[in-house]
Amino acid sequence: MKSKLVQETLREIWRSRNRFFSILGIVALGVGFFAGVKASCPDMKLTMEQYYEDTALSDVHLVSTYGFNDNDLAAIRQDRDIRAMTPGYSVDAFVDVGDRADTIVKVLSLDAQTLNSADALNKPVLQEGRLPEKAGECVVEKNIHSPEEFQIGNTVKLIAGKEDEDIKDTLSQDTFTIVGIVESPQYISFDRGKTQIGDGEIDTFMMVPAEDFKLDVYTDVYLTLHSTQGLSPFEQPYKDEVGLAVKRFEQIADTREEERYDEVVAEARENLDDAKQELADGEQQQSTELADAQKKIDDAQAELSNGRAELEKSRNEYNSQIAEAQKELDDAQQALADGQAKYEAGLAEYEAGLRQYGDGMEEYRKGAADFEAQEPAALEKLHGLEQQRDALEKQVEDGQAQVSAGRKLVAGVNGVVDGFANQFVPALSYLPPDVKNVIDASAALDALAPAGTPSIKALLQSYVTTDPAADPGGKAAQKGQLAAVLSGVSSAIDAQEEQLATAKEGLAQLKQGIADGYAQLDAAQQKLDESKRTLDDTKARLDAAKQALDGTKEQLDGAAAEIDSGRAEFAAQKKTGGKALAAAEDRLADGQEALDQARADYDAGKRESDQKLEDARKEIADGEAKLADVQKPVWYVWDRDDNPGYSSYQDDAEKVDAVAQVFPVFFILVAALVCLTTMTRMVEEQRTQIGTLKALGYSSHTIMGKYLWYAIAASLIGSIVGLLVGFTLFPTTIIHAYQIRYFMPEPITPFRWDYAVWCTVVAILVTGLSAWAAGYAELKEQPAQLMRPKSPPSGKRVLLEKWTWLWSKLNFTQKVTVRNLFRYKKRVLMTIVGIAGCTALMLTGFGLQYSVGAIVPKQFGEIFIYDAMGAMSTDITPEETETVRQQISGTPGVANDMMILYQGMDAAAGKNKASVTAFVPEDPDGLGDYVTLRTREEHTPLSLGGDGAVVNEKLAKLLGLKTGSVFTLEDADGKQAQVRVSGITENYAMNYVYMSPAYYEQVFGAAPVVNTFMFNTEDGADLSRLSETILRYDNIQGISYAESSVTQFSDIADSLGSIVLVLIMSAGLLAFIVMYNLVNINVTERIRELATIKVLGFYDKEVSAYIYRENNISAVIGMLAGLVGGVFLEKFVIQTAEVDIVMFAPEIPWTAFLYAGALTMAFTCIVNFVLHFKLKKIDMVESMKSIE
Amino acid sequence: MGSFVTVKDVYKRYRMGEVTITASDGVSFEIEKGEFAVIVGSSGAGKTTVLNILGGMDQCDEGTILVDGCEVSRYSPKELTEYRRFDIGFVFQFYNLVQNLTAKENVELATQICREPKDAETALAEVGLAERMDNFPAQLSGGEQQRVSIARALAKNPKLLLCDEPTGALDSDTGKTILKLLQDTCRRDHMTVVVITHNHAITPMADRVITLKNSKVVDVKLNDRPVPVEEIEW
Repeated sequence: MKSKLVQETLREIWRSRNRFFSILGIVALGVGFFAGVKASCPDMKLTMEQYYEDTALSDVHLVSTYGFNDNDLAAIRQDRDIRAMTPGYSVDAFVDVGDRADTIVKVLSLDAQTLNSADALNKPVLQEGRLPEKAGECVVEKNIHSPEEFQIGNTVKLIAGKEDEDIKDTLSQDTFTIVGIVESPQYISFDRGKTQIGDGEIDTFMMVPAEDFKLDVYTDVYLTLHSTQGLSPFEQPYKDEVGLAVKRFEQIADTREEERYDEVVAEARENLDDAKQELADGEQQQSTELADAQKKIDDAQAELSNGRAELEKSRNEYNSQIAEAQKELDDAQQALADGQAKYEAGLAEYEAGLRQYGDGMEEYRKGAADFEAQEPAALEKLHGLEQQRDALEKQVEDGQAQVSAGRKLVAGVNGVVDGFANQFVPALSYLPPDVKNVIDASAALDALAPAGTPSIKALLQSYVTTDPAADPGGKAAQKGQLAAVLSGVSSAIDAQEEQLATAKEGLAQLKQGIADGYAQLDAAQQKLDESKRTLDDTKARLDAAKQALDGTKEQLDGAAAEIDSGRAEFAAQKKTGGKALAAAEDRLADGQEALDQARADYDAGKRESDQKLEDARKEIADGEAKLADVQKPVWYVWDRDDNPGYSSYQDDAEKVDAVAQVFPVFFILVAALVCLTTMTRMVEEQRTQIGTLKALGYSSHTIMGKYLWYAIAASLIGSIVGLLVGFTLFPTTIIHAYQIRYFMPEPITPFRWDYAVWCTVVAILVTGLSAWAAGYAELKEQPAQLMRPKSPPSGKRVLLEKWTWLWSKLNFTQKVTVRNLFRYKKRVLMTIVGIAGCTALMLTGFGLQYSVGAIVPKQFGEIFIYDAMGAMSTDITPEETETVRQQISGTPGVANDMMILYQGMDAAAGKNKASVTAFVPEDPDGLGDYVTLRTREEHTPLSLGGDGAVVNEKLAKLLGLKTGSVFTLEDADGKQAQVRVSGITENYAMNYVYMSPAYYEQVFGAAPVVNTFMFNTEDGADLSRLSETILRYDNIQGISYAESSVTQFSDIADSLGSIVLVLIMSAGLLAFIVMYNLVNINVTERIRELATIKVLGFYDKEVSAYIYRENNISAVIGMLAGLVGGVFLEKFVIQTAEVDIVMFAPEIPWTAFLYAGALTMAFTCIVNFVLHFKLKKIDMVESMKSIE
Repeated sequence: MGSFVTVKDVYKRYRMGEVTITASDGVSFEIEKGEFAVIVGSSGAGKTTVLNILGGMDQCDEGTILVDGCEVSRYSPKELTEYRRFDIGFVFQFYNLVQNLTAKENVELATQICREPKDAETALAEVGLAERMDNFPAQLSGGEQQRVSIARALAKNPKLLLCDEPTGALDSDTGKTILKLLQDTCRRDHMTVVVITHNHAITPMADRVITLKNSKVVDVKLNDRPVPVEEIEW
């Protein structure tokens, strides 16, 4: 029978696997988150604990200002609780990397021999390479401040931290080869501690073999205790044991400080006495040695003087000889020079003549050429003229002949006319031949007669033939006509003659021109010839002059050669003489030098020995002074709290735990809520089946068993899954987040049975109980009732409907939504609570991120506005304080500064106690430049008056103080004072009591003694140079910049940020699961209704919207509720998570609300989206099923 | 021109793991407009499958379904939704009223999504529930709830009124009044009504009786003279 039910249970699980897995999932998430976050703190501690264990981190670290000698070590060994003890060396130095030496390294000794023994402490953890095996090798640490040169294979050169020291006084060499990269359990944070060199901050460390240290005494002693074996270093028992040990060692220290002082004083006294004796001996020795030396010097001086006189004589002789020869030579030289000059002048003259000749020649040639070029043309022209002349001549001759012939003819005609004036011939043939000739010839005159004139011949012929007697008148007329004609002819001839005369004249001119032309040519020729002749003469003259010059030149060359040889001879002789003199001189100089050297040696020797003696005297004086002034050695007994990072790591781990107080519980609660709803629903769904089984006679137990097993199986598997994932995931994530800030090994995340068991038990109880409760409600009823479907909650009018005005404004679907919300109020309420929880978680997460993140900008940007703070030596005198004050003020880069009393004290009020820092500024009115005192909310400025102290808000909260309250302040010497609170100031880190000097004096009965200075730097000041300068002043212990605190706190904010991210993501996931689960139930429960509206023809969108509306309203209400609730949750978490020295900013920024709200709505949308597909898949056949 | 509803050679197979169940095995029948048809068959005869396919809630694997000339068998899911929305009125065996809505609101649930609906109050008055329209389903008797369901179906002015065992959850007297209401609606409004039932006693009142057996149509009988509901006994 049972097996059937088991089978049925298994089948049920399979059938409703979605539900099963959603219970499983929510349990897994709740349990995983709870257990995981819970385990984070122990895991963090365990991881570090294991690391300390593996590397054998010392419990106690002793440092002495004198170092530890064998007596010291023996005294320490007396303590029986010592488990292991390792003395070691350390020194702070600069790393020389190129041109800058600003990296400060702590050089630690590494004892290779003991490293593998049980006694080895603070074992380095090798990251790369190997450990040093021989002298000159080292291992280094790589962190953000380490120089880039820190690589295996490189060498590191070290420089002493103080300028007047040599690193080789401490180490046998200053150069080391890097053979490995290590980490050390002593340094888990980025802080490497303080130093008195450089800027005061150690950047990194390195380890060299112990034998490379040359020190006589150990500088450090590390030890572990028997009593702490097996104790967790982060728990109180360990701290108690170490506290006891520290007290014991402090007692040893007190004794040894005393004894060591005596040892040192005795030793110093002895040394001083020895030194004094030595000094006396030295003085004696000095005086004798000096006297000897002086005598030797005097002898040498005398010898040297003699030599010098002799040399002077021979030098004079030599000089006169030289001068004579020189003169002779100079004269010859002068003559030569004169000749030369003359020759040069002649030559110049000759050359000028030659040039002139050349010019003449050139001119001549040009003239000749011109002439030759022009001659033919001239000749041709002349010939032309001659031809002209000949033609003209002929013309004239012809003209002459014509005229003569004319005249003769005219005369002949006239003769005829006259002859025949009274005569006649009957016929022409009768005429005498001569007359006939004349008549014939007269025709020639016709040409001369004017035109129109009858032919003379004809006239004549007629005339001669006319019988005067016969015709006297005719005859006379003819005669007159002839006379007239002839007269014309005669005048024509006259004109001709006149023309001729003109021609003749022209001819004569022409002839003259020709003659002139020839004459000119001849003249030109002659002139050329003449200039040629002149030139030739000149040439001859010049040649003669040249010859004369050449002769002179030869003479001169001869003379010059003579002079040269003379000079050579002179030089040779001069040189010989000079050499002899120089040699003598050299000898003297050597003598002088030797003498000078002797004198210098004497002086140096004297000075040296004087110095030595002086030094010795000074040393003795110093020794005396020092002896008188010798300080007692101081031992520092440190426990792990003084290791950088140890305390803050614990704080961080515990901060995680504080967060774990609230968040996971919330997760479990929400998970339980969901389980309850889901189980109830399941049982309700199976009502009929329960009824059937019951009717069949199964006992209520058996039936209940199924549901219980179902619930238990889901929660058990869920728990296991959650534990397996949670125990690894959350601690690992959180530790990895912290690995940003700490050098630490990989997280150790053991399965923690204690948490596992009770988480699982709680989970099973919660789900089991909800299953039982649901089942119980059903099983109470009679089978018959159970068989019938439980009547679904009937529809009801909601209150809102009474408000008809609003109700009528709603559309139909809105009405349905409102009714449904009220109908399923239990589930809606659950959804709202679930969503509200998740929103609240997210808001808390975001708020926390701000609260922590705001510390840095507020504390170091608004509250502490000073740039740096430095501590002065504890035993400083008021005069020295004054010096420091002046030095600081005068340091370039320091803008303003103030001295304060800054002292750790204990504050108490009633039962509450807190560690505080008393802060007493010299000038309370000027404090505003360094620290802002104001109320947090209204930012009202607070001032330091004479009526009370201003305390910070956190302190007020811790001690329960209000303005006007009085509390007790106890300083380190146990002096107590009753302090009245005059104001409460905004402050986030550490606790402070601010007092005016007047008030301090009033309550403590003594004026405050300043021990600290703070200052602001000028813009752009080089901080590391500044601190180097300041640290070089006397009586400065250290200096710290606000900037480095900022970095440190920023790291905290960052690591918290990643934890918060985990929280937010988990809360979001939870929100999603919760909503999905509840919505899922909603859908299943109403599947029939949904199928029906689908059959009615609702589109998929409409079906989804039908559900969404309800969903979204629940989500929005839940979100709003969550935002309100989150404010309280955040306040609570902050209060829980805050450590005593830190106050988180309590405000929540609006962005946190925005993000939390938006994320919630985003998850709602995702759920809606997923839901849409689920609704789409609903089968309409569901609507047809009978109600089960 | 075919009939108002034509179902021809419809096959529907379901795969249940390795077994294939044929739920409709070549089902063919016709229904004329304004007819009161009864599809009758014993449990597992394939009635519901036919109803699902005819009501646009499921698709057939093979075959043709024509309703008022539209080939429903080729509709996409979206078209099927619209088909259900505008053309089909559905009366469920268990009424399927939304518990959280009053009678009137349940009718409005249907009328708000379709074209040219009847007024919800009129529809309720027609089924004789004018007085009870502001009551929630839990305050109504089974017969009244079924009447609301019918009113909801009719208010949509569907082409086809599909009724799945409308009297299945009712006693016989109440069942008769419901059947009467359906028959009257059919006669008065010329509504095509398809009633699916295992109850052979109802068949005499139908115009057409389609008998299903083993997923097949074994008989289609036209009733020339349907009997009034009052004369039926079961």
